[in-house]
Amino acid sequence: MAPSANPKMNRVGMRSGQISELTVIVPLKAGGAASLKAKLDQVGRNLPDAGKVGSLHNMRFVLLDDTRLLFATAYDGDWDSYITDFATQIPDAMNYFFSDVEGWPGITTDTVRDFIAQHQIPAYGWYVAYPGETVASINRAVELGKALKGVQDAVSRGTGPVRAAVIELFNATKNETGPVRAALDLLRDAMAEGR
Amino acid sequence: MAAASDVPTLKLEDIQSLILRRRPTPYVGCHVLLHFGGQGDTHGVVRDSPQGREFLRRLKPHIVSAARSESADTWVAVAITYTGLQALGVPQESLDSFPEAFKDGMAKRAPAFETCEGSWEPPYGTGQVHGWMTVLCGATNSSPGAMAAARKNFQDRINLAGQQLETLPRVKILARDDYEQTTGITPFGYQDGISFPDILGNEAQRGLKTSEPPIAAGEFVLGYPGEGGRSIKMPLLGTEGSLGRNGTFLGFRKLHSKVATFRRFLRDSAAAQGILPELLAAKIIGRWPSGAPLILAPDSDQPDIARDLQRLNNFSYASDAKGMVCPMGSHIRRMNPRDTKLQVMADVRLRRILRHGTAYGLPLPDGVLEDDGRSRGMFFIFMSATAPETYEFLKKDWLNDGNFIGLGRERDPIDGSHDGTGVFTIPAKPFAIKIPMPESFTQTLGGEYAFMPSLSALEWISELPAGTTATQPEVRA
Repeated sequence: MAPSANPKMNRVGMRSGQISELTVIVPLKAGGAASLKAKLDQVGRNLPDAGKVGSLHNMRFVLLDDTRLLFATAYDGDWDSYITDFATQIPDAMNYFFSDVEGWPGITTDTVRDFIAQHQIPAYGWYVAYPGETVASINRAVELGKALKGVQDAVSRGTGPVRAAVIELFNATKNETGPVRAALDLLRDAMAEGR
Repeated sequence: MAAASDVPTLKLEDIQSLILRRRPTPYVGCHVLLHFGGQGDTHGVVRDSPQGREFLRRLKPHIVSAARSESADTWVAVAITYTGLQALGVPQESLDSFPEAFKDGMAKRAPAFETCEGSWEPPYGTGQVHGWMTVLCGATNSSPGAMAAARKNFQDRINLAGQQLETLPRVKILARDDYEQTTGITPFGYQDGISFPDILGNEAQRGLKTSEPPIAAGEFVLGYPGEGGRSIKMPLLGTEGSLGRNGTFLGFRKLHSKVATFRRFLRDSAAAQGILPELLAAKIIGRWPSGAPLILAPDSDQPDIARDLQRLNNFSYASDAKGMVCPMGSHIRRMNPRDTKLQVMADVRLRRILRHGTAYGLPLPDGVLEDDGRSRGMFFIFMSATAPETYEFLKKDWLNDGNFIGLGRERDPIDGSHDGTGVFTIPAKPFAIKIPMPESFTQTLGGEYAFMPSLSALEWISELPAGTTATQPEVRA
């Protein structure tokens, strides 16, 4: 699917399937760069709590000449609900990391949306490898993949009941057709290829 | 891919023969590590080594170019490390033009591409290794008479070099390893030296017949068009800056082979899976002990294929997209995936290196499963116009990772670094076999990157005026 302009004017970024992008460049207060760096260093330049938001694919803090912050992120869904997610899930963390930004109104204020929109620069081109997936669907697929790997390991490493049951599954479903057939073939190939 | 009309004329008389020739088998030979000392050296810091230059001046007539008929069965080759170039007085501007990995040296780079187990043997990684020289003489067959003739040829050439050293006390031999092999069998028991690529325009040596078209000469020799059509950036040598041409980069590594450990692993893992240890050993490499590839001999070794030079290396993976015959993770499929569909875009033709292994130490007798404490392994040489970068790519992405073939973090079964958490996946119907990998079977004892100059560059270096750049020994932590 080709990325398209976000239908909500002014609060724009590009959108690719389920995923949107947001890029802002904002000025930093005097001494703000050093302060922000210290805060980011303290969390190992990672923000483990950001996982709580649930819709966040990635975000990065880039310091431009130590005077401005380039903040770029990819997230699931709509612009407005994304800001709401931040405001409700991790308001303290947001205010902590953005308090070095000149004019930062606070994540729970009425004016924060306008402030972000004013500094937002929509991408002109953007590639997403998995436009149909969300953070939640990817995490779920990874979980299921691990479960499948567990079964794979069980049948690959020894004999045991799992092996017999999987053979029984393949035998019992020999006559299946259509999408079920395709799914079973994929499973059978995965078991044989071990990947 | 270069068109046939672009076949370059290689200046064979200026190119050291080692680059363009397969290693002869059987052979008698040695590798020597050299140090070019100077007056007033302190703590291994060399300011200038006039005797090093004099040694190269005297050595040059004995270096065998690819144009000489004797080059079919004799190597006399020399290569110089970065600290060696400094000691020889190569000007700073020229030193600066070398690639970063070469300037850093292998010891500094190694932690990024392999799990380092144990410390390296001196003098590797100390900055004291300035030159590497090899003398290797092939025998026409493994009969006592032919081997004696090879030994004499070897000794004559060693004596010539030795005589030069007698009057040059500041040129020191840091290490010398001698080799004599009647077969090309590695300590692990596999035939090696098979996959020598066909190089476009290499009149000195054709590779074995293969399904792949020849690879552009510029990938292996500096100054000729590479696979991308342009020649790879050369270091600036000579007054015109053009003497990088006809040289190449090289790396060498001393690898200890844990043969008894490997044999016990084969026995125990095969028993646990109910397969033959011989089949497991073949799945690990992708070839049987004779060299016959699994793709052509799926079920058992077929020495007649190994003897047939039209077939030995002439296969593709088109019929085995899922790795059911030759596992994706087998050593030869990783190192040269040929037409395998990779998960990550990579031009396999840019990742080829010329490999010359020589086995050292006495083989562990057949059937012995306990370590005898002896030193044995491979002295592994690799060459290409981008040898340090290509080697590091191969180690990081193709040996010590599995993402490019859809196998996650899985590592090469025989040459990968194993910490006991990984597996080796052998595709099979109905279920793949996953072999737990308990430990590494090879241990790196040391290695260096070096530049193998053309004969004209060697002459230029040997005639340089006194140098001024102090070589900083870089001691491996």
